[in-house]
Amino acid sequence: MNRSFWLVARREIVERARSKAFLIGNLVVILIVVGIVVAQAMASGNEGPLRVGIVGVEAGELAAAADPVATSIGVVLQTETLPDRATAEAALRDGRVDVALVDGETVLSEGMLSRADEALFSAAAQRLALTKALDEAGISPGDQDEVLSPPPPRVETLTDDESGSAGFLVALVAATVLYGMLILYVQWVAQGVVEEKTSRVVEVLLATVRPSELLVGKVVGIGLLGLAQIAVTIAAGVIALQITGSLQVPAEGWTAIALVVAWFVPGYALYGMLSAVAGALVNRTEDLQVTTTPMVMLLVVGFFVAQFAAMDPLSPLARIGGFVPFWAPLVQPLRAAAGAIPAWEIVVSLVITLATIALLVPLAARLYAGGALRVDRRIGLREAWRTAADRRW
Amino acid sequence: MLEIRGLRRKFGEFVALEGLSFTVGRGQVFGFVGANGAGKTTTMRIVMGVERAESGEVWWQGKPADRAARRRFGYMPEERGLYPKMRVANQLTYLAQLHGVAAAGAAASTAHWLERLGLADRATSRLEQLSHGNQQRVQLAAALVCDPVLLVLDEPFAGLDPTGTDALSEVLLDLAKRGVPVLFSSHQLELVERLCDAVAIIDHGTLVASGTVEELRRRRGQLLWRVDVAADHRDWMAGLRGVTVERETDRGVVLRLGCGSDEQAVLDAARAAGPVSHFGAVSPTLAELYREAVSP
Repeated sequence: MNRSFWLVARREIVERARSKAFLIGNLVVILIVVGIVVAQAMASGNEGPLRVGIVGVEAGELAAAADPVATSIGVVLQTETLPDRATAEAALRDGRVDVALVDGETVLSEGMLSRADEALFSAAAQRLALTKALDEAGISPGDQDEVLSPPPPRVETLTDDESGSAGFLVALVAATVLYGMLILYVQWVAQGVVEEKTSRVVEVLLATVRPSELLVGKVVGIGLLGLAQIAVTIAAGVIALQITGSLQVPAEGWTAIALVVAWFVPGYALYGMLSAVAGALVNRTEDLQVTTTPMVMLLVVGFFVAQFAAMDPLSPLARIGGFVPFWAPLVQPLRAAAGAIPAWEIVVSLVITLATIALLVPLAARLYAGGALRVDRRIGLREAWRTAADRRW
Repeated sequence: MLEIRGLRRKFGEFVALEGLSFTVGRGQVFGFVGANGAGKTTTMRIVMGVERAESGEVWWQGKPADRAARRRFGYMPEERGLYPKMRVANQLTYLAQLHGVAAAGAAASTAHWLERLGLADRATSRLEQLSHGNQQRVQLAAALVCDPVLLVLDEPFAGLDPTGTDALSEVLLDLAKRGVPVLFSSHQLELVERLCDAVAIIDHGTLVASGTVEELRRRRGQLLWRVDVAADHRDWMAGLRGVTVERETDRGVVLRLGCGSDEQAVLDAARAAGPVSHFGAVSPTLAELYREAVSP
């Protein structure tokens, strides 16, 4: 394309990026992502050692017995010897220790003791009692360890399908988020088109720019801005993950995100173009709902097909959905994340999608051209098509 | 030079243009006059390429106007419109660039026209924050900022106060002096007469008269004559062939000299009636010419 097209795209990016609404929107998205990550980190409860105050010799023995138990469930104990019960209570209130063991009989806690901690100290008490009994029976410490710390049992899950995999879950979340963003950006396109009509600036523009340049420039500009927003969102998530160190995203998770984002581009191109046409048909923002409804229906149905396809990637519905031009960008990344699908299917659906875009550009440009200068009322597709013939483009 | 050659355009059953032709010369301020619905806006939109003609052509500098030529036309459409939320200077620079002006030139041109139109202090305001009058000025700047080779302005004076009218007049005359043809439509006929080198009067999509105002007057012939005479009776002109009274004045009459009349015979008759203090042809105003031209 030429210079006008880039000028149009650049205006969209600069003007929108400068707007308060965009900045606030970005901030909200970042806060949500960071919030989710932090909430995850809190829920997984992986926050430093369990600080134990110790009062008396027996308490020290109990703590020593608790140590291997704690290690086996991934908890680190940090002990501190305190002179008496009063000091221990004060330390608890100050938050200097999480629990205090008094004379090997009492576990002091400021609030309710968590079940895990309760179980930990019960097990420790049992272990201590067992150790003493084994000592009395004359069993050597080495043999005692064998009895007291058997290898952990092997864990087997009943459900073994791929849909339970981390990659699939990440893809599902990413697809849902991007689906929401797709709707947002596509709305920007339609509203932008209508705003140019209601403000009448469109006639000034079309006196010097081709409708196709204006249309594609607008769609591309908003799309690039959208991709930037997606990148910022992902970056915020990654940084939050790094800082909290809580959630490990497996490699297949990143692959899934990459797939979803890669398919987002042609998906946005398709729906962005439809949306511009929907905008060109109306002369008031209020009427947008009427003309965008068919497109939104197409998108929503596609999203549901994608959900089904994800559950059973090789079912007939999933395979067909992967070849429907307006659905493929939603269906294929989820199918790919949910399980292996034949490479030829991806290639064919990519070809179909790109061919649809290539066909849609001139079609949408003509409809847009026919509608853009009709500022008097809402028109239908047929009228837009015929009006376009009345202009010199 | 802009040539309008036989434009025809129908909207359904309504005939907007029926073979309209006229020419706007280099450096001419050209007034486009006609009733609402006569076809002025349609003509201008066809010139700018946002409307198609069923037949006929628009020529610029001796060849059919193409995209490249039109890119250098400055345009103010009938329905004003710019981006309400965009800042004034950014908006003008953007439009200049769309018209093919390089970034630096666009910025310089924007600064120039904002200064010239008294908007320099509003450069960073959003358009919607400006008064109606100032928004009009920005719209004019939008037509001028691309350093146009031709200006097409649809009712540029509509809604302007006297100061704004003077400022716009000055700008248009200035551009014409530099050789830029200015085609504009208006209903303010006194203004058109004062400003324009030439006019086109159209009615129902056809040209009924065009040329300089002087040419129009001459072509019509001297029809009205004012006779100031202290006559002893009022019907001294009775019996003169083809002469009717247009109206009576304080000092005499204005006569319409029709077919077969002779102004010398009228003068003789007047002198016979009493002392004549003034005898001369009355120049019709453009408004009068217009009314005569479009009356059936």
